[in-house]
Amino acid sequence: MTEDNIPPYVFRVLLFGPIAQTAGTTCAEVMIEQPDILVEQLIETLCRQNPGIASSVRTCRIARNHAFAQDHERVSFRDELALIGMVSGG
Amino acid sequence: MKITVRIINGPLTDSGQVLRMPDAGAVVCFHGIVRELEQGRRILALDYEVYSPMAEQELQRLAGEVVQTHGLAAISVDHSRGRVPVGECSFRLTVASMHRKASLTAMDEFIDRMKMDVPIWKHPIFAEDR
Repeated sequence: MTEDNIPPYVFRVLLFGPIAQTAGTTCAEVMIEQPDILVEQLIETLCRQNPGIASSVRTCRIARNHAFAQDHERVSFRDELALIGMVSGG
Repeated sequence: MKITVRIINGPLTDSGQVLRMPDAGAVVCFHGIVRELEQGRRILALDYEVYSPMAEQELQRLAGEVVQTHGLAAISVDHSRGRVPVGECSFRLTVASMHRKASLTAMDEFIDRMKMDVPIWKHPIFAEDR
């Protein structure tokens, strides 16, 4: 068993755009006791552990390994996770 | 059908894809230019932040869906990454179809959906901050 496999597990969530500016970082860390979790639970925990961005996070979507994930899907601490807020390309 | 997606560093300075196909009677091209005013304030440039490779994948997926929905012959999407000065092109969409209505409708739909789903963010560089 490697150190990575000892709880709590660190879920790293990439941040972009205005949320990254508000948070002052491009990566939020979320500590969770289990190695995988529902997307909706990840968002709740992210809000609880990062109150400074909580109001923005609730309107965002989670991407797992470069594709949008639904609320009922499970994500792992090994996944590449990103918080996708309002985008503004074009 | 032909689908091309490119994310390019800085302004789009080339002329882009030339979509000439024997079955396409309509080719429509949209150029997005960085304008001088953003939120009523003068800017020098926009910095585009792109989450790769998700942005490319979402553009590709969106292009494929729009091609299918509207029966396009081809679509080409170019978007900038990084700094693009005022007056320069940062986004270019070219679509080809048998008749014009499909191209015009598809273009509008693509841009609307891109602005909801593709992880690209623009950051204005305000003139007064320099």
